[in-house]
Amino acid sequence: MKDEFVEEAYFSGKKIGQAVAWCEDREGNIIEVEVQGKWFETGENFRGKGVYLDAHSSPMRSIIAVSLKKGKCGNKTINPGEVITIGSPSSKEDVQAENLILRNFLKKNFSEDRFFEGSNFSSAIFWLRDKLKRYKVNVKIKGTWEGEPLNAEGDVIGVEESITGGYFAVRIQSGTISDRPIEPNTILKVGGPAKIRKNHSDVVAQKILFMPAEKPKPRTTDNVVLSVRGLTVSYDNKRIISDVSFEIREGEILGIVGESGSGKSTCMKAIIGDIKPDSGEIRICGYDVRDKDNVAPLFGYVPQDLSRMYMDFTPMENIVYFGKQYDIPELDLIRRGKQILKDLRIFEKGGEKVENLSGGEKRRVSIAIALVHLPKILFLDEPSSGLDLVRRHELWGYLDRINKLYGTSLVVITHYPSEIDYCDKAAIFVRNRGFIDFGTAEELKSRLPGKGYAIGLLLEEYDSRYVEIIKNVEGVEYVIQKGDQLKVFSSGENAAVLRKIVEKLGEKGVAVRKVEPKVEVDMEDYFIYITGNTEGVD
Amino acid sequence: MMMRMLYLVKVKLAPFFGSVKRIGALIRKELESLMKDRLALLVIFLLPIIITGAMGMAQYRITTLDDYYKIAVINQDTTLTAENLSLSNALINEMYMHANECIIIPMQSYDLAVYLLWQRQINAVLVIPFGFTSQLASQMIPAYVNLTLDGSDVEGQGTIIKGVTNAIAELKMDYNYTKYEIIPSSQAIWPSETKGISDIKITVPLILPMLLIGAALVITSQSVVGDIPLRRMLLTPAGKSEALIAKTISYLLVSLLQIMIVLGILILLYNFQPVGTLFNFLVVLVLTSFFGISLGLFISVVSNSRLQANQYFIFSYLTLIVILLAVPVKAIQRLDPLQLAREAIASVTARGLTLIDIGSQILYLFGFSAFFLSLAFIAFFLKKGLV
Repeated sequence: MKDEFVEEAYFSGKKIGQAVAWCEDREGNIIEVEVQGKWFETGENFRGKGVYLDAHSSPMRSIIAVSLKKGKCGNKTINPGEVITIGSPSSKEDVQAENLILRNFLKKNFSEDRFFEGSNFSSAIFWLRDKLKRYKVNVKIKGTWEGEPLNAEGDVIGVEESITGGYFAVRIQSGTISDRPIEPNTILKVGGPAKIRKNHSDVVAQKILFMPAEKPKPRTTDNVVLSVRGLTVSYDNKRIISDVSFEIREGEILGIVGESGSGKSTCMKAIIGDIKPDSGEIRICGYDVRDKDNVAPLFGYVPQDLSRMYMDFTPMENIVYFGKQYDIPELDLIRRGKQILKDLRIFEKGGEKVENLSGGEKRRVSIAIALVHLPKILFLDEPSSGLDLVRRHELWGYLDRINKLYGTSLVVITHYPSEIDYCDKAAIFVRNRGFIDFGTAEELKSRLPGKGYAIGLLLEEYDSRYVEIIKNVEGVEYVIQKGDQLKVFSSGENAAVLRKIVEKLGEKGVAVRKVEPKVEVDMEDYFIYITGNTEGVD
Repeated sequence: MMMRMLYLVKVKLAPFFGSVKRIGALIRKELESLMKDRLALLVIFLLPIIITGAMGMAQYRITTLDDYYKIAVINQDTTLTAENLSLSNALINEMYMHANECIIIPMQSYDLAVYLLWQRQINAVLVIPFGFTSQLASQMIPAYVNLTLDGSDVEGQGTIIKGVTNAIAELKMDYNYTKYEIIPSSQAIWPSETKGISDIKITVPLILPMLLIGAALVITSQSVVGDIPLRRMLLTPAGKSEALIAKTISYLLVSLLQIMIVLGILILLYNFQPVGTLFNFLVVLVLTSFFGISLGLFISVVSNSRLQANQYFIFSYLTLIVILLAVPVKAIQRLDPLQLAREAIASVTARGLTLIDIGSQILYLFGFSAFFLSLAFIAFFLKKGLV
């Protein structure tokens, strides 16, 4: 599905400074840049679209760096992935912009890619030295080799700092020098324009795009982030859950719903690898959950117990100490932590001790801790437990925000059936029966008699004996009573069954105030039905 | 080429470096956590300062009041030799000159002297009985002196007896009575206030192991069972072994600081000078703390609640102390880590022995520490369900 952008702004090329400010205000989000102008080298018309990388503005020069998705210069197509800089109509950048359209998708940009200009080479070296300690870094370089234009891509294999600015060494994968291909695996030393070149292998970089490799990458290509098959767990020789199977895809929210003691927490513990299942297969982004090295960075966990964070630390300290276990540099953790705390509306509490925060704030800090390594999937153990209706709604608002902004899939344990309405899918657990059903709210309801609809009855006066009368009517499967209101599940055609019910009640002298042949069943009705009906659903 | 090799080494060793980084981050977290825990700070720093201070005060009391042992001398002898000499007076003169570390106070009343001894105003009463000179001069029968001592002051007794014996020996030699005996008979009384053992050279080997092991146990016995967020931390790439290694290293660092404070007080404030090297003393103290840390971690891992950890801590600590102080079976006592540490500290500080000389105590102490630490790792790995 194509992402829907939510904010769009137009700037003329002369107002590129304002465009830079617009981008900087939205730093951290995915921004699309569409540009129309002149290609500086040839003076031909240019039109292209790409992903925003970096921008800076000064009285002398304002630029936006973009990684092109597509672009056309005259009749020539520019290679996708090419890094270009966009400036004002009078600038000497790759593109002299006449018109700019910027789109903010309100989605977090998880890419660690970083653009540097050659003039800023010492900052590039500083940044690279730190990154190289943790990641394999791929690089795209635009520059010159012996005065000839060079365009290349490869792996950074080392970095050398010196007072003249230093250099980094790249094993070239592909590239050209004045349209001549560079032999793969050639090792080139890349320096900045100010560097004193010592030998012919030196490249003077003008534009550098570093692309640190994410680790680990999801193994699957079908976007399935969690798959559970035939999961069976016993504890003290007692079977807690058996044959649990479900899967969710990237960006989906799964509700694990059930009563206390129905096995939903056991199911989650088995998924996150805390308890060993008897049998079954659990995969997170394609990795077996026992493969901790690969799986741990892919998920986050928010425990029900709020004491499972350091109470005498601040939220930011908690974020840093937990985040450091994922080998994320402290500066990155602080930057991300600030952003997440802002997104969860507790940024101003970032410096207070956690123990001094309210329950709701603590919960959000706990979520922030679990989010800082940008997991693909977030597990939340009964986050709404003990909250009143308003706070529950507010919490779900935050969860929805995380889901949309970060694209993180959520697995939420809850014992409130009504919360299934916030979820894309639900796995249903019932006490003494374990896992019984899985699907979307509509699918689950459609498996009830009446396929998601029931007969609604409002009696003049309620008496439990009346329910017995209704239950004995032919075609009636189940009756739910809520005060004077009754919802009747029927296996047959609702109108016919309703007629029989009214007749039967009339024979017994029971007055009916209101009838509705087709009322929608909600998730609470669903749950009452499946817990009350020992035979379960189809 | 060099750069490429370094790159390959880095890639191959990446998991190891990753683990080291995680442990480093956990150590930092542990230390910061400890620094924010007031109770832990109290136990780590204030308690050693108070106890070491108290030990030093004891030493201070001895050096000012009891630096010299006061011997009241009651001369009841009025007899003289043929040369008109009083050998009892000669003995008193010899005591003035040769009873080292003693002050001689001539007195008349025996009852008053004994009362003063009972009051701990003096340390001994020496009575030279009537006929001392004539008996010695007769060269027929031995002469006697009678010494009454403070029964509770074991070390003082030795010094006083030595002083009196020296004086007698000098008298016999000076007056050529070498063949004839002067028998010092002695008796002890127990003064109103018992002196006990208060010399810092004795208290340091006894108290320091108790202090270091006790403090380490108090802190570490809560370190795993009380670290509720650790269970969540273990769902990150951090492993159980990394968490325990980080805790061990953190507490060792804290113990080292604690030891430095104790040593600082002993040396700078109370002029405590070990006979052996300071380094050996330091090694023994660190090993002593290491035992406390290992036992504490083991207790913390096997406990299911903070209360249970406290109970285990009290039980194990009391067991160690009871074995040290109240179990007379030497074979068992020698294996008590408190006793091992006590012997090792005494050997290093008072006898100037090297670490090789006290190898068996060092090995036993390290062995016990390694044993409990290994048990802690095994128990932690076997522990089910963390979240």
